[in-house]
Amino acid sequence: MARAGGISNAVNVGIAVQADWENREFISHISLNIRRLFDFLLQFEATTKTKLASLNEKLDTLERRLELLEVQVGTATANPSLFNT
Amino acid sequence: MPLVRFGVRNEYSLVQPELYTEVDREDPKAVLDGVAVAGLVGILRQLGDLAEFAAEVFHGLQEQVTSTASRSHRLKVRVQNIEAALPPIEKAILAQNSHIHFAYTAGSEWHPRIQNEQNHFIYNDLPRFIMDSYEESRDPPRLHLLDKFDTGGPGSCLKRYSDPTFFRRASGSLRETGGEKVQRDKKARKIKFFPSAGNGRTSPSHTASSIDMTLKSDLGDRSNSFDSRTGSSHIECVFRPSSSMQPEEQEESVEFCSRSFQQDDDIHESSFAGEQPGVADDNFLHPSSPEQVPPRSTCVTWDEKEEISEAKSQHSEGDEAPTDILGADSVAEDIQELRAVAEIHIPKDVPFEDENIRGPSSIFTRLYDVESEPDNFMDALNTIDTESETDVDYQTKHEVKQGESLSTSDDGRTEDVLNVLSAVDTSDHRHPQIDDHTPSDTSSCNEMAADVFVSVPPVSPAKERAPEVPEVSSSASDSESGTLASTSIDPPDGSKEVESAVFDRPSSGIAVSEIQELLPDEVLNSPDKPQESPVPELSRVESIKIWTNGGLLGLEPSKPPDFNMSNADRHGSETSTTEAENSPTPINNGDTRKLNKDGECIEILAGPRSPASLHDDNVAKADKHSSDSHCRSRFHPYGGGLTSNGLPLSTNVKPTSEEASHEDDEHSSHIFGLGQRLLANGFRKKISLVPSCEPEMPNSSPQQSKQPFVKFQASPLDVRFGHKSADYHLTSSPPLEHMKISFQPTNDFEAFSKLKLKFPDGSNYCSESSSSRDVFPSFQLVPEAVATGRNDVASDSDDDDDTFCRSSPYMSDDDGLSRHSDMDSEDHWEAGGSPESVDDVIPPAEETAHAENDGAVSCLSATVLDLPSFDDVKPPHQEVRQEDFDPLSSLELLQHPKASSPLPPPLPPAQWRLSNPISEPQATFDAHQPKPAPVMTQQSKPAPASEQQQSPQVVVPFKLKSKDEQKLNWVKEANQPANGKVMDEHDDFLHQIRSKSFSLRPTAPAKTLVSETTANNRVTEILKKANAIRQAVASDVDDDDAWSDNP
Repeated sequence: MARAGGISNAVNVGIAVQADWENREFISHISLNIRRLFDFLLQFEATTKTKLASLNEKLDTLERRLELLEVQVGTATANPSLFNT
Repeated sequence: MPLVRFGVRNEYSLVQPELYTEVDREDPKAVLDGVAVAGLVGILRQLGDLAEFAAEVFHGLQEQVTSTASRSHRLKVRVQNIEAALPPIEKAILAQNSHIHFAYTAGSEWHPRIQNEQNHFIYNDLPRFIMDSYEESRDPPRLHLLDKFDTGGPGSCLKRYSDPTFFRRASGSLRETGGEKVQRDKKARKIKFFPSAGNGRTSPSHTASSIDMTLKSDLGDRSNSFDSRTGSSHIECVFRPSSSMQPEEQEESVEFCSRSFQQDDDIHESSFAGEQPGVADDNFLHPSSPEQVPPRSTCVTWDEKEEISEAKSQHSEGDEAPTDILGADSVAEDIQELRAVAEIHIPKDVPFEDENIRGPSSIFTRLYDVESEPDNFMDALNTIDTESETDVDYQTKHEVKQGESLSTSDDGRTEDVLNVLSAVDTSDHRHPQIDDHTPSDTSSCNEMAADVFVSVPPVSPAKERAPEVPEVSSSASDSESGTLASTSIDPPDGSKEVESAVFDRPSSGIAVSEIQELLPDEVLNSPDKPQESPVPELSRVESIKIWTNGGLLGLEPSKPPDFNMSNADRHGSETSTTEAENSPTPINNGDTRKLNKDGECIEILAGPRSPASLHDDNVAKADKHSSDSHCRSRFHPYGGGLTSNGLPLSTNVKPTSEEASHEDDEHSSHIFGLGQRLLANGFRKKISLVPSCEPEMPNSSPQQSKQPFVKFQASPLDVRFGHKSADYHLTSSPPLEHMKISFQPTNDFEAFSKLKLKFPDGSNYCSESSSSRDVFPSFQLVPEAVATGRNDVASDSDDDDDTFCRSSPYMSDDDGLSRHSDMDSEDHWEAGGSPESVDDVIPPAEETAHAENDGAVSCLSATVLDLPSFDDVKPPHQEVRQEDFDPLSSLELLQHPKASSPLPPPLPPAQWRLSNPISEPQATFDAHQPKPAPVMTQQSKPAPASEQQQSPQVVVPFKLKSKDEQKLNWVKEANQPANGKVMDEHDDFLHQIRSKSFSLRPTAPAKTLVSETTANNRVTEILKKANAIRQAVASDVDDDDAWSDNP
């Protein structure tokens, strides 16, 4: 009996170890995917911010030009005499 | 510094170990389960971290996107505002003839006020994960307590512990390796600057600078510094380091803005923003504590100066007065930007090695040097060496000063100024002084700012002040205040001194000017600057500036408006004469010239418009006179053109030229305006006219042809210039051309006179003009109206005098003549060939008659000219015009009748067309029917009568008819013998039909002359008939016999 019990115990342990391995594999997969998600988020943020930065640069340029245009238009509007000649 | 954005820990590390440690170890399953659970829990925590991280990421992205969206929205609003403001400006601009004067108008002064918040290294809004590291970091140890025991002065001990400027110095060292010379110069400048800055000022902040000074002194620079002190502020600069060793002198060093400060500022950009240029109080910032740094106003000013120095070149180029542009708010922003740019400017400043230039630039360089100096404590030798070099350089500076101008020229920006100055400067006597007073120089430079390059005097006062300035500037401590004070001081020295000073400081002056721009409020507030600015030398420089600013050709803005004047004159005349004419005169001339051959026709076309313009309410009576004269001239060419395509035109030319001579200046102006219209419409008209002239050619008698030839050819030009203004106005009307076709066969002077009368009405002219030149389209129409034409000839001719007249001339035309006319017309239509060749080739018999009746011819031309105007002027006739008379092209004309009525029958063969048009039917009808004959005559040659009759449009045509009948008959007879033989009976019928059709259309205008309403009704009726005929003809088009039979 004891022998049989020892075998069964060993079998149980083996089963438990195998299950543990399976669990660990499962957890590692999940963890790996989570890390991939992090990586994706980082890349996404980087690309998005890069694009936003380029867009902001363009907006800066546009703002400068617009400012210049506004000044020019304001000057032209304020000095109608320029067009009377 | 850790740059880890986020750390993802192991899932098992996230779990409390108790989960699996506290389990019964004898139960392996429990242990394993505990571990598994711990892993799962760790995964959950990782997921939680992931969610948090994702939220952070997306939150940041959302903020940026929101800000970007708001910016874009603001931009959109601004753009909309600009769009709303543009239309009136566009109108104002487009309303002007010449825009060249804009090149001479001074542009708007503008300076970008946009604050660049995207400074990656300066901007406060650091990433959170970086800010976290700052937040988590502990304050540095209170090493400042040990400063009293350190010769380096305040901050030295802390710097030894942690030097935030380390990396900058490292990068600076790299730069130094790249350009050691520049750095040397900078250092020398720095040294100079320090003395100037340190003049009389003592601030606790000097301790740091004093440390650097000590280093310098250690290097043996002290001796130099002392020497410099005795001699100049430059010496003081060197001195200060030594003085930094000595707390007393440390005060002087207050002005220093150590590189560390700048760097700190850059790093801690907020401090820069808080800075005020004038304050030099706490220049010394401990690298460890950037917060202490904030007072570095001087540094800022220097940075600004550096930027200004750069800007100086631009300003020198741009000749702009920078002072007014900036506002107080903008200044602070600019300062921040300048700080950011400061480092970049430094290398730029290097070229400004002139002593004067060195003042500002040296300051900046010092910022590095100062930083490097404390760094020298830390890093030591490199900076010391550089400083020692700088000292040596400084000694050499005096020598170099003369060459400073050249060195400044190295920058390229100041070259021009230097050149100018070099012309002026003779002695650099005060160079040492100037160097000593570099701050004062800077102040003077501030004065210079507005005048910048050119204004030598401001610089000179600064130089003169240089000895005084050190004190003043030292008292002022603030660079700006110092500059102001220095500027306020009047230069006692003679012009030479001033000049020398100017030479020395052009660059500095430039820098100052920039500073002024950057800090307009303070600078501007100082009244001294403007006062000092006026100097004779300045005038020189200003002149140069004016050239640069002067605009395109170096001419002053006042000069160019001549064009405007002329344009205005044109406009005035044109507007007075014509409503909407703004056409460019030169083009008109060119067009008329181009049209010379065809020009007659064009003139004719233009003629009708002139009456139209006359009809316009806007047109003045004088314009009417001019138009009348135009009409005359037109008539002449018309008659010539009508009677004989080529020759009669020449005959017409003379009268037209004469009339042109009679024309007022207004006419000439009108002509110019008309020319444009002619350009627009002229091509079409030309085409139409050319064919019209050609058909006329056969009609014209060869006898008259020779004389008229020359005249006729010349006439178009003359008429164009002198008379055609009105003609051009009228050119567009298609019905007129159509009318021309009908008229051309007639050739009678009386008819022309009638036509003249019609011109004012528009309808008559249209008929006449169409007879003359629109023959082709009319021909095309004619075959359609053939049946009606015969009917009309039989009955309608009596009903409608005009119809008979028109039909009669065509009928009267001999086959040969008509053929010639048609052939020529077609050719001209297609190829747009010049009538001259045709004219030369064909001396029509009618030309003789036309030559006899030059006046009538002129009238015809005028009528032709008026035809387009007709269209414009008289809407009632537009229907006819739309249908058949579009002047665009013969093809168009063909299409038009289609549009007006059912599709016209296919055109009869060219021979038919040619034979039909004028001569034969005219003769026949003239003989049989007095009314149509006179009409024909009127149309053909009523030049004299036309001149007289221009005013009485309605009544005259009938009179002319009666009068001209005989003439027309005579002409027709002349034409008939030649053409009648050639014509077959069928051809005759066809021609009659065609002529009738033609006459029908012209009749409509004639009726309108009598009474426009009735005429319109008749025209409509005639058109209906013509349409019916066309339909009938269309079915029979295939067979010529069918043509003859159908009617």
